[in-house]
Amino acid sequence: MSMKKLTGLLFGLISLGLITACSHKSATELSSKDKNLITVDNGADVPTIDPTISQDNTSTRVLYDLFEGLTSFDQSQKTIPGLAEKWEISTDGRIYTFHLRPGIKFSDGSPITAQDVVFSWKRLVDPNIASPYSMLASNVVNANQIIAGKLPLNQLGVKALDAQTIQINLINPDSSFLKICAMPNVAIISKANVTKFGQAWTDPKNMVTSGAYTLSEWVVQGHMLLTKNPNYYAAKSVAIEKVNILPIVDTNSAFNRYQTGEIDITYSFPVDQYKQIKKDYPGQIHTVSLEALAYYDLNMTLAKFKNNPQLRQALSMAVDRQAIVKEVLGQGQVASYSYATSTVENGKFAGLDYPWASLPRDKQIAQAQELFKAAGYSPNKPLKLMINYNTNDGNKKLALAIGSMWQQVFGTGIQVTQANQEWKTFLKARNKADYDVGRDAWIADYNSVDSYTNLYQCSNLQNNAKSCNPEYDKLIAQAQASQDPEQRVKLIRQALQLVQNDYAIIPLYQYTYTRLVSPRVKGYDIDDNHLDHVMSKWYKLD
Amino acid sequence: MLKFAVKRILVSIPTLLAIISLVFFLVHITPGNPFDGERALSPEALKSLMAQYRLDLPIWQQYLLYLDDLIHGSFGISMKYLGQPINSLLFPDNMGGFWVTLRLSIYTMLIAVPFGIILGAYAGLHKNSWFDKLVVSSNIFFTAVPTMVTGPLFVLILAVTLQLFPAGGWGDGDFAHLFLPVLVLVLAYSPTIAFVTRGSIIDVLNSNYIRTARAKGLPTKKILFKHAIKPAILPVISLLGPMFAGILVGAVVTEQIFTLPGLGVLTTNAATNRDYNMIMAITILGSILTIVFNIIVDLLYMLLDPKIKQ
Repeated sequence: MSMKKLTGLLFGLISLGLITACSHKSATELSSKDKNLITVDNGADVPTIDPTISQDNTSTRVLYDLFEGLTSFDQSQKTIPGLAEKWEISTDGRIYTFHLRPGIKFSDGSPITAQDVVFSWKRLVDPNIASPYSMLASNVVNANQIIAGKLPLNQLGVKALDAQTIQINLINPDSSFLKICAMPNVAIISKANVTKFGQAWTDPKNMVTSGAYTLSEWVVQGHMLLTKNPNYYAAKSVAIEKVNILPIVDTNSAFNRYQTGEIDITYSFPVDQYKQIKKDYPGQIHTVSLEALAYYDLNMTLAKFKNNPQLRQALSMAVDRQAIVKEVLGQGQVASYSYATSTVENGKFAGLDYPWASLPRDKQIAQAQELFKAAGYSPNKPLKLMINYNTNDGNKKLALAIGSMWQQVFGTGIQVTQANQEWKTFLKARNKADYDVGRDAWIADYNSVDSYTNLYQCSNLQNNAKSCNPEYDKLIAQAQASQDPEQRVKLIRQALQLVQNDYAIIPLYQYTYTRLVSPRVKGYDIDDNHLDHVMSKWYKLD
Repeated sequence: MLKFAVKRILVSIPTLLAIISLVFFLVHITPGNPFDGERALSPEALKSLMAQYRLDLPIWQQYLLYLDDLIHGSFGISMKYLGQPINSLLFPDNMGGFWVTLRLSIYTMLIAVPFGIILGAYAGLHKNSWFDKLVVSSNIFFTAVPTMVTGPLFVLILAVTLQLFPAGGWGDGDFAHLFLPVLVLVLAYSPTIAFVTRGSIIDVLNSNYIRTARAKGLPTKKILFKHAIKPAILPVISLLGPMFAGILVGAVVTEQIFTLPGLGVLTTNAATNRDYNMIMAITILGSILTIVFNIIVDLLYMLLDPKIKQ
């Protein structure tokens, strides 16, 4: 082939490629002017859209659109009826009877029955499914034995009384139970659909949903296209026809696409451009307190911490949380001096701060230094500590800041080093208690203090400090069994005060999330949404 | 030639097996497992998951079972995208994954190759001219400035400021969505092609047989197209095979900048999530592509170079 022919062929191919590329337009062509389409960045790709086994916030964002539970929630996180229109609670607080809305249907038009509800709950505790969130059912009669494989599935305390009525039997009364019923892990899925397709039921071609939207397309790492479910009981009030969900990890890329109008709501924002964005996009950037706590674990399996409460208190007191939230983080985070946030359950657990939190900084330092000395450490016998964190710029800044605070307060009496680890390696080490001081954080699953109180119980898997105070566990158990809501709050407050004085963790700050919302998006009360649980059916477009 | 191709394919099987074994054991000895998460799993759930993914078996047994899967054409089940087969994640029927990267690479090569060759050849023919100097210095420039810089720069100018193109996304693989990523990749790869072509042209033009042709009075045009191009193109061809395979598995940064649903993002995610099966699949795919392209290059060599034909 001569060179001329070769170049001719190449150019032919190029133009052919370009022509086919141009002519290949389709339904997903996205425009920021389309009133029936909203594009939302979800920050990362969804690992699974099987509600039973989902465990992360990215999945949750999509699942609240696709499925609904017996109960649901509004924008202020208040529990409202979901697929169940009403329910009764027995006087001892142990039996819940739910009545489904009449005539409700799955997206394929088949009726939603009590059998589907029972199936959805059984699936959560099925040892073969191995849901990481099976503990949501732990208060349901026989659930724990079923999860452990000691009882068959049909022994679960969730029964269909008739096609419309479901009874759930609890071991203890639980004031959070109606909130749990709204979680995606117990959202109602179609028994017929899941049984028919097995693991492939989540494929967009097969999937049948019970929520406001259905899944039309899923290009892994590309986008998820949700389409309004015409069979949803409240379909009339769902304003937007299509929701396009993007998995953009890189905050700069997401911000670029927001600027060009390709994205209506971002997941996050480029941290280093915060001030500029605030200036350029006033009223579009929202910073909201998240129901989540950042803290450091002190490894209580180590003798130096276990046998030395004074040292643990000294370390906690020496951390200047105000400097952390203002200088190190600087995006509206709130300093934390207690084991639960002041926002959880709409403020029922506020005011539990350590008494020394209100002291001036120099007094805090003086007390911390005294405690440190009493704990037996001095320049002659210095304390060696290593802070472990998973690799991330923010975590690094924090570890360096806290290290230098300790260094400043305790001088040569302490030697702090910092070590970063790749995420999975870090998790492994923290789980095996192979660390001195470890970075930790917890995001509440629902608007209940239980999300935090569980963390400090002796046998809890999430108790990474490996601390144990049997007195605390007893108080929490009492609170959980209590039917009097005021008594419950009182007992939990008492328990938290008790466990806080163990100083096994160092509470640092309450998280925030920051997001850009296009002015054309209406109906999203983001500033009150501390759990960041969102449903697209709330949105309207201008 | 067929015999040669078959021989090469047979020889590459042990290579591939060695790569598979090495990666398999490396991946499995990395600390952490796919099911470690912020929320610790109950021991029962962990046991059940480990059993589902055969991770509870001795490692040699896992290895043999993995090879058995491979022989049957299956890369196994993803551990990040729970329950989804790797095959359908890599080669989805909705044009994501490998297909995205493949199209990206083909468009890039279709433009970068002729563009680079023409620039390089012209520069080589006019050695030390201003054009030549431009080609050489732009090669240095674009080799030094990575796509990590050029990508966001183009997005800022052409998408955010001038609003000519979307700032990212794949759309439907249409011209508008492809323009910027392809441009960035063309700028990254064509200078190398130009540089190699230029050097090769200069070498050939200085060789004895071209001097003989000139001495015999052949016109320059004829010398160039009949005698110089073919040998000058050979080093370029040997460059293209690995380059194509390189874009296919290595456009990670470009895919991330333009948020494209290709192999790159799958790769980085697989590594951080310890998605053993996905890491294995992408490594194997990359190895196969490299081997295949090298064989193709060798075959092309045979066609073009009479010395190798014997």
